[in-house]
Amino acid sequence: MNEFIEHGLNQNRRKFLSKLSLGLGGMALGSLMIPGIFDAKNEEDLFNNVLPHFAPKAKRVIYLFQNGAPSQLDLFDYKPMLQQMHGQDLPESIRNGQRLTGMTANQTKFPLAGTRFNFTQNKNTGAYFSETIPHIASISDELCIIRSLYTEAINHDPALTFFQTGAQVGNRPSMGSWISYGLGSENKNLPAFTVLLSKGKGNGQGVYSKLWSNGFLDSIHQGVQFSSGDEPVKYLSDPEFIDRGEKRKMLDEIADLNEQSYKEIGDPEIVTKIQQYELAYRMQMEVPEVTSLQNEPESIIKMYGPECILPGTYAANCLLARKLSESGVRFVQLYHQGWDGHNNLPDELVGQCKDVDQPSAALIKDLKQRGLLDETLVIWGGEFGRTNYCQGALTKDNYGRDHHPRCFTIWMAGGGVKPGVYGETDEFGYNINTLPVHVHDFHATVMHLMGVDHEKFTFKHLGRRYRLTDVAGNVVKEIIS
Amino acid sequence: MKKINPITIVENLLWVINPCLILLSIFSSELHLGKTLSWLGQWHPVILHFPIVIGIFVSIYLCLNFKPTISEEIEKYLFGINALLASIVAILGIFISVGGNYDKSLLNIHQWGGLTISLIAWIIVLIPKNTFASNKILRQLVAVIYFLTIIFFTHKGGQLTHGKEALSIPEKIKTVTSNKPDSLLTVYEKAVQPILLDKCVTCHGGDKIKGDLQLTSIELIKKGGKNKDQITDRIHLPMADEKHMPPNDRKQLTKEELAILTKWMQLGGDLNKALKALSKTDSLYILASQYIAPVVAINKEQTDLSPFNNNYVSVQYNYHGGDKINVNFFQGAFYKTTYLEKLEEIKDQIATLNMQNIPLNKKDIDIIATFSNLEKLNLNFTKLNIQDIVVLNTLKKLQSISLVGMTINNQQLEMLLKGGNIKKVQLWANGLKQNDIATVASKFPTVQLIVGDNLESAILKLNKPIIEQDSTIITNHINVPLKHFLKGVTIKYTLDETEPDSLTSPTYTKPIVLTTNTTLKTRVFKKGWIASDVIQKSFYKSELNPDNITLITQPDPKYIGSGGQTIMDHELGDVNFGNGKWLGYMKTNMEFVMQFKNATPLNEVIFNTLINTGSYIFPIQNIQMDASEDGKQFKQIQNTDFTNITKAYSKETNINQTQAFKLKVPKGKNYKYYKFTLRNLKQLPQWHPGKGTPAWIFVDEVFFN
Repeated sequence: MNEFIEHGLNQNRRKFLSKLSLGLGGMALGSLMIPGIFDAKNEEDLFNNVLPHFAPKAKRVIYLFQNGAPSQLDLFDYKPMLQQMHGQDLPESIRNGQRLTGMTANQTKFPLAGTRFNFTQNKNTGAYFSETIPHIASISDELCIIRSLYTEAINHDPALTFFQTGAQVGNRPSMGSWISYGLGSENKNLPAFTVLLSKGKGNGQGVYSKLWSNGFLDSIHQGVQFSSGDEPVKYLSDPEFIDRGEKRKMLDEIADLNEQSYKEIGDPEIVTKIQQYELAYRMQMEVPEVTSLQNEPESIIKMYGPECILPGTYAANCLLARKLSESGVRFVQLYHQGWDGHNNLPDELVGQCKDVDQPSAALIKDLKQRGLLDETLVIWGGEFGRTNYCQGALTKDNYGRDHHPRCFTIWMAGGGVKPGVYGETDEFGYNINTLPVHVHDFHATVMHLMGVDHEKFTFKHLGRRYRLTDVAGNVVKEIIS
Repeated sequence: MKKINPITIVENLLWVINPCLILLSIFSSELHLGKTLSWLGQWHPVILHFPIVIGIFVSIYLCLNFKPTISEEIEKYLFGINALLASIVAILGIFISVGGNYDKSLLNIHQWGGLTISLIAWIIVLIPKNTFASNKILRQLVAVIYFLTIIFFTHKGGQLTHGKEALSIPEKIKTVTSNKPDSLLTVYEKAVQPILLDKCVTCHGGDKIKGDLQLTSIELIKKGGKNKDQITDRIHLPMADEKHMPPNDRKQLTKEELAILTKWMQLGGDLNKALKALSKTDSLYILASQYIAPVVAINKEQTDLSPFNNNYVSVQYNYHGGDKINVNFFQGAFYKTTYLEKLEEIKDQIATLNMQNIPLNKKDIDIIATFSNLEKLNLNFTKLNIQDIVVLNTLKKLQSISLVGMTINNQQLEMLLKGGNIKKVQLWANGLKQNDIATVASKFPTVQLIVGDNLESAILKLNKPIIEQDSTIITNHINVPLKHFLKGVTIKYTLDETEPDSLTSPTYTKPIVLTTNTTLKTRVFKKGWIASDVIQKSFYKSELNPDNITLITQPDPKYIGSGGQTIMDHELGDVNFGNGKWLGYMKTNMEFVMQFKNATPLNEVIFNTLINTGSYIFPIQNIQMDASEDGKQFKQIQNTDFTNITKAYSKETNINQTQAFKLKVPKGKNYKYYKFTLRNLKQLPQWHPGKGTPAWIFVDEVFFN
């Protein structure tokens, strides 16, 4: 179809058909205005009406994003070599002139910093865990640990944006938005994509709403942020003295007005608006039920740790994530800030782990004991790794680490991933030895687990088709069970 | 009128119809048919059975030469009608072939075969009776040839309509999709076949064979197309070449796919070469193992599921083109049994059913028990009893069932497991004892019982209660509500600076009302938990508001707050000294004058300050208080040292908290002007990184009583 005609009419077939109020007359009119509008096999239809493309391994995703980049060398990627060479300079043969951030590029020396922590190994899978995360270590038989992830960005914002949207510049839809667009919500009373934020005591980096933006997709696919406090979803509750009946009447009237202006202007965002009002109305019933954590049995509270009843904590968000996920939310995105350990990393890491360790493990165990783990994919990881050399002053048991995009560790559990360890870094923990996994590959794999072929799932915008994986990405088949 | 013998009509008709048939056969590719003739063609598959049956009978009759023979008249009719029907069917066959899209080579064979059958049948009519009667060998020879011709060529026709597999023994090559792991796949199954299926066979396989190239069996692949063109010859041609394959308007082969096909053909196109038999560095291995078969969109008809969906029920296909359906129920408050009853129509397709938190009863379970292909069922917290669901043991496909929160006893659970094929059961929070579970586990060793962590008896520490009062200033009185999110906790508190305990301290029931300077200490207790840490907060009385304030020494330019007002605005700055609610001094003492309109008696002055040794902020060392009636002549009325507080701090106490300094005012004369001098620590102690330099003091509020 001619792009200009399409644009001039501010229509395309899908949007036109969604104008149900016009009915058959409208369809007849449509075929007069744009010949072939109904018989064309629109490419979006071809690709997207067939989702999921194949049997999905996971129906839902919970993404525990560790914002600020946790140190893989102090958590999962055990390198005794660094301890032996503690304080010696990073050999140039390893770094090979690769670029560093402005924060350490001017350092005259790059003293290697061995981890301060002791590690234990899971005998079945060979995975290592530091003493700071005993709870995660205790569920290691469930975990698929990828030690060979790498990214292209070296600073927080672009790296984070890259992980969330598949591009470093923030104008693309977030992963959750893609999933919402492709697979929709299971529960019509909750959004398909929700966001939960929490903050640790460590050095923090910002998270911005662009990370859960719908980009060029309909705004109904934007992530809905659930905040702590009396009102988990902002502006959801009715004003005083307005009951549900009145609210219903009001919404009907507003919808009437909106439909009128939609007929006049044809802006698809108006339809989205109507849908959003309706979703909000239905959410009013569901949200209080889902977000009330006090009714959880005591054994569950003990599992996530007593902090989980304090709204706004990571533990509470993990518990909430389980509740949202089991209520049919496709994509629950958590962010926990405070992992950016440029200085004083070991102490900050201990604090962060205290926040994160028990609840993360509890989430896996809780899903498992409800029979939900096999259909829910849980992802835990940051936007990049941290350097093997020290930023700032190095002492026997204190050091800082700069950003390191060339290798880092994330783990996944449940939803069709194979427990075990994938990929290997060199003995300095600086470069990847085997089986590198790019962020695009990671996206392709998550999509694959959800039953989506990342190469066939596209959206046409500004004259080209976009994918979450852009023009790259290979499914890491070896980690799929 | 002379009566015409019907047999003569038949014989004459044959003279008309058979030449027609011959002509039609020769020019069949040039034919263009109207609607009527195309419609007539549709009768070919219906009528064809008559000449086959009659023809076979004729051949047997000729071969066996029955004694006594049937009358000549009847024999003539038999042969004539046989030949006529055969010819008609052949003509109809040509008609049907023109419109359809058939396998060309098969069609050719069938068409000329049909003509042969018709002609032999005609010959049988034409041969005089005497010749047949006298020459037994000729008769039998004709009979056998006729019989074999019929069988062979009509079978070709059957293959055309029913597919080549019709009546043949299944061959090995026909696997289309494979669920085998990579390690068991052949190179052909892993990569070659998917590529051919995706990009080639729409034109070169099945019913359509363009350029005489057939890619559906290995022999045909190797045979190549017309001119013996091999696949690899054409796919490497440049796009501009008109022989380039796939055609320009079709999906093209990727570089990787090209390489896979080429290398595989170079290997001799070995169908049985296992992927793992190749060396890991072999380029074919690398390419093939990374190849992911494209997803073929299946245009299979699926039932429209929208009538089964509503705001509280989600009914979805597992994937597009799949048969299995997943059903999820939400929001128990709105549940109706009719939602479940509605699923009757698709009940055999439902593979997973999630009814977590839905209030169900026996009737609902009886409906679920008819979902014969159910594989996974979630009944967590459904308020059911185990005896209600024993009927589910009739569901033979049921593999996984989740029974969390259900009241369960051993016997009924065993009955449920006995009948079915359940492999996995989630059960916890349902009153089953450890040894009950062990018994069940020993009786059903193949069933995985997931019992959760059962942390009810684990002993953890409670977190602190929350003091829900942001202000710390009491003008007349202040309400202080306390809160804790865990159900069933007891909040204890004290107002006398002692540590709250579970026995003697008062229990919180309603907001505490404070009227004087108080330090509130509180903690929570609960049976089975360790008591929380104590949380404390000080509240200050502020009865008197000075009318004016004059700063004599100015604060450091970085921490000027909003000038003198900062310390009398009844707003406290938290532990963040940079938030503009603090006045910070380092180089000088803090000196200021408070003015009251009338001479005012002072009893007590409280200075709220910050201590953060890591940030060089130390306690006040000394406070001096002067008074004056005219604001010019000041007289010292109080001077208090606080140096001992500093001694409590050392390298290890890295603290960031607010602290109040109270200054008692001796009774005596009342004044209008009061001057305060707050002295900082002039030299940081030896252990401090900033040893020798002056310490900071930070003040955010001063209260007068």
